[in-house]
Amino acid sequence: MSGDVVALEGGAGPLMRRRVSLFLRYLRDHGFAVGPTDLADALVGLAHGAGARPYLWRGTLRALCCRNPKQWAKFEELFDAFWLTRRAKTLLRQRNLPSRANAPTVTQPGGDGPRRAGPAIEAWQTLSRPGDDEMPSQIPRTEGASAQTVTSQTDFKDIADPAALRAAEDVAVDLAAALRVRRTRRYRQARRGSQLDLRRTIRRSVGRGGVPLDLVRRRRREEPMRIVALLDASGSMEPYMRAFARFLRGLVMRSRMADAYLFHTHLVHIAPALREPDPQRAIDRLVLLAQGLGGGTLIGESLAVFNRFHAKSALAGRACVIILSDGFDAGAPDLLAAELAKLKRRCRRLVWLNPLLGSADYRPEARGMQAALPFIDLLASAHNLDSLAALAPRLARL
Amino acid sequence: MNARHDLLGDRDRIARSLVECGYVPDGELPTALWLMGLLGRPLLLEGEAGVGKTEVAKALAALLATRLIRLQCYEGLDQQSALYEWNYQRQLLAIKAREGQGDAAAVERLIFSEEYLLERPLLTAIRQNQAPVLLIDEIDRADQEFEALLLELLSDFQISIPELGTVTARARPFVILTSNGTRDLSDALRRRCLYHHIDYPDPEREARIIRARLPGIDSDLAAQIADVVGRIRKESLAKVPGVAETLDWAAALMGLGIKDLGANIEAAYQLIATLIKTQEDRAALPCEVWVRLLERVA
Repeated sequence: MSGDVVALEGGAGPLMRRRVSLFLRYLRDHGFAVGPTDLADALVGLAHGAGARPYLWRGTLRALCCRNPKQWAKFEELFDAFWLTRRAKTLLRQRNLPSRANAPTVTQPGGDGPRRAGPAIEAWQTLSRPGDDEMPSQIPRTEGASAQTVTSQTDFKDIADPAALRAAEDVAVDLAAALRVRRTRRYRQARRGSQLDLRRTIRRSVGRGGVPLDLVRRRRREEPMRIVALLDASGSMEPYMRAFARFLRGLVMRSRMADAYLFHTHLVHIAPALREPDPQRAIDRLVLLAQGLGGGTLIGESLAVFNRFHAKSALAGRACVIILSDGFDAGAPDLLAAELAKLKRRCRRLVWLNPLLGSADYRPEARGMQAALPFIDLLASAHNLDSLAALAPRLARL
Repeated sequence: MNARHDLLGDRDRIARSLVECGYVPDGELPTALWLMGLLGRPLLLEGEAGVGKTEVAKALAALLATRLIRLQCYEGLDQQSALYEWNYQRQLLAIKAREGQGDAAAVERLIFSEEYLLERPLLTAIRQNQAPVLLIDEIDRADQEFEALLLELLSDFQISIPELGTVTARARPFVILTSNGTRDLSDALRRRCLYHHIDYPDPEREARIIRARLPGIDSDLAAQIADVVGRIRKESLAKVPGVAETLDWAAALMGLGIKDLGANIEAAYQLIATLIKTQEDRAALPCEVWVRLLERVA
């Protein structure tokens, strides 16, 4: 913090006020949720000498404007770029910060773009065509069912029909509904609860001279179960990718509690991309996120990353983890087993959906699959709509 | 508001007083505390477990020479354990004792008076004459319903009790919330708070912390300890040692009369239980790695 901070002396003159409000607008452009209250508070701070020294001014704005660790880390750079002189600005340009935090960029695949992420990406590009997703909820249920009879037996890898892909989203919603059984520690009043709510019972008896005539009962409240899906995006999974991407989109779009990740050799958090309202943009963002991933699959390493950095918040309150993978793993089976064991300890249910189980002659003999078997609560096939739909009752029974 | 502001003094005075109270802050924490006094907004502290979030509240209470009121959050925490509760048993006894004498209205007035009210931490905090420090610890463990309950309190500093009326804060408490990030807090709560993120201290600050907490320690040893712990944190561990672990280790080393880590690698390794808390991490830090870490320091 050298002395080259501009215009900090002189209290909150009109010029300074304008500069502060410009700075807040600048922060808003970078995804900070700052509002007029924060501006007012910054000016109060300024009036009390917050602008007297650079470190004080920086600390003041940082405490006022940041809301989470990400912003906290980003703030310093933004502050320097705005309040310091030219030198700092070139630094910012070198680091190539995006001008708007959430501006989605759409790139064309192939051509001279960055290294392509294997064949899977191409499949996603065609995943959603225009007109394919027009208000799926308004389609009458009966029609959907009759359409399903045509395709529900067809293997996902042979499906190109948009309606069938949309059905994958619907199945996901049913699946999420089947899992609604997480009991919380909060109680609610219930006519036929198993426990007596002593507090309320006594409270009511006060009006009857202390005789507990009206018994109030309570039971544990239930909440939707969190679902965390981990999708294998390696080359061998490519034929199933369109359907599974739609399936995950169905999960995260309709349930606040669902989360999705994608892995090949690395792990990427894809739920924010999937929540994009426009399906084509969602897929575009997915492609962007997946770029830079290599060719093979390192399931163990990816799970290790998940366990280390995401599990704590993603699995809070114990979740159901669904892994969508064929189990062909280029990494060490021991690592996969160790990480699955860790994951198993942290989640309530561990489900592995393997599309290859659909073919009659398949045996789970891939090394990865063998290593994983001891830790899985439910190993099921997910090669067509019927198999996905059959999953819901089995999950509910677990 | 000015009075609150004066309680704390300016940023530099806060920084000095914190050190006197045994807390060595990072560069920006005193500014955040100063703003807290100035603006009357709560302060949300985030950071890994064991970086000293709770200690901030304790140090602030010591600095202000005021009471620290702590509410530990957990899943299912509700109004009855956070705000207030009527003492039903006593109320029932009172009703029974006055059965058949006097009018019902008088009895009702009696049993819904202050005498029968059980204060819980949040109500206690706003009924103090001298502004206390209210620590709402690990808010991420409570559920969203509780967060909503807090919002009301944190914006108006008042609680309404239907039978008694509204209780307004006599002196606005200094509110500190801490979170480990196991759950995303709501935007509404974040918007109301000032924010500060605490990182693991760098070796230099950690050495100062050790010296502040263990005044008898040799300052070279403190520097060595801080350096080793800093290196251990860079290893890939499931449970990274926090500042509390560092202090335990330092105290144990002092207890053994060790002055130089380099000369006592074996003995220091015997005390690894104070730093490493899981079997897995123990396996990740075998004796050879340990020797390498310590040799580099000594």
